[in-house]
Amino acid sequence: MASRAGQEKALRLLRHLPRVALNNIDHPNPKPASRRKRGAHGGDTHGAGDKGSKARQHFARAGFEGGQTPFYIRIPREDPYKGHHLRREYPPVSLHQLQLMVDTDRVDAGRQIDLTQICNSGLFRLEPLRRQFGFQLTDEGMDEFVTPVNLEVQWASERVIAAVERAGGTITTAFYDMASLQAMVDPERFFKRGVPIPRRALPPQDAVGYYTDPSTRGYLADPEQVARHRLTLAQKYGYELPKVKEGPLTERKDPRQIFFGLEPGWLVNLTDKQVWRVKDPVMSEYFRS
Amino acid sequence: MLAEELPAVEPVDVDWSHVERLLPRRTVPTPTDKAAYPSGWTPQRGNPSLPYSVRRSVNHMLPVYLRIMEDGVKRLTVVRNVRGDIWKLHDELKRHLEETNSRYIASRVNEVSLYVQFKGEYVQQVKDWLRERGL
Repeated sequence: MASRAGQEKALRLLRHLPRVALNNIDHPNPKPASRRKRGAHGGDTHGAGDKGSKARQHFARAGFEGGQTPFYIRIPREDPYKGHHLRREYPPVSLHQLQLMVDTDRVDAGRQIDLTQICNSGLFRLEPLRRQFGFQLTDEGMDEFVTPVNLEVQWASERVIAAVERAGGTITTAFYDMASLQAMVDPERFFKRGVPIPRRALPPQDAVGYYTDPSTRGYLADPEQVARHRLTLAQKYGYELPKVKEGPLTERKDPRQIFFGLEPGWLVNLTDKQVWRVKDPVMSEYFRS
Repeated sequence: MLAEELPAVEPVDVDWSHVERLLPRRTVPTPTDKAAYPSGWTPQRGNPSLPYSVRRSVNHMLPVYLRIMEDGVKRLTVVRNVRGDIWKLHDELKRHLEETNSRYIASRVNEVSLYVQFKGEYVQQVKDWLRERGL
């Protein structure tokens, strides 16, 4: 600890020291542009050394190959790859894998199996930051799929929908935006962030058609239309459509909801086992809309 | 952000099971006994009459794997974690595979690392053979 005398000495010194300026403090100093050396000591070879191609040649533009068509011009543009870095990806989960998960109790068939439940099984990993927007259900093992389940995936083909419904289950295709995906993929990590549960956004323009279509069991489609399509699909594939009882097999999320029993705008505290919500009416109205 | 600027909050009475449902299990669950397993999976029943056995993986799966090497040209079927008389398992399994596929199958036994290797793609046949024996 500085004594009173030391403090006074420091203050006295300050009165005589120069003002703080750029020339007497440590600061980032970018290199000046290189220039040709001039004068008696910078002349003669001007920093290029003795002879050699570096002293003689003016170098050509980057990529120049001596006149041969350069690589960056030779390779043609590939239209199929246009925008590939922006396209959404749906990693596959097969019906066989799903049946195996149900058989080995890696996933609870009594409640809805959605993106979170598949990730929580530990067998599948989703990376939203790599443009992975959810799971698609593939038809491998669809002949052996017999368990009635309530599924929510991001994409499923007609055959897969038929296989799930034939077994007595229900399937919905739903969209989750990036913020919702971050929460769903690892809910524990998300809750620890202390961020309120996001309000799920609607699908982008190119996906609206898919998620409002009853034939693909879109979550925004009319439920009556979906029921009608269930019947027609059963007729098309020639199976008896089992009656699905109201209960865990028919539970659905609200289009703005990402977790069952929890509303957007709520904040979950895992340590104290407490959930909080905002009192402000404007904010609650936004989250509830 | 100052404490006065933060929005006022109130606690919500919510069924905590909804939150617990979102948290993953810390360990791999032991599969419960069921009447049937449509996926083809069978639990390990054990077979005391046999002098050998195979230890299941952490996920309760049979330790039979396909190794693809040399850019897809070389395919090996590996049975890992063989306990007991490894040569007995090798001889019986090799005989079965050769009869089923009507061809000679090159094989290899590693007594130290406890695995048996067969040249070719016979994963499903090996698994079926092990399942028949309750392993």
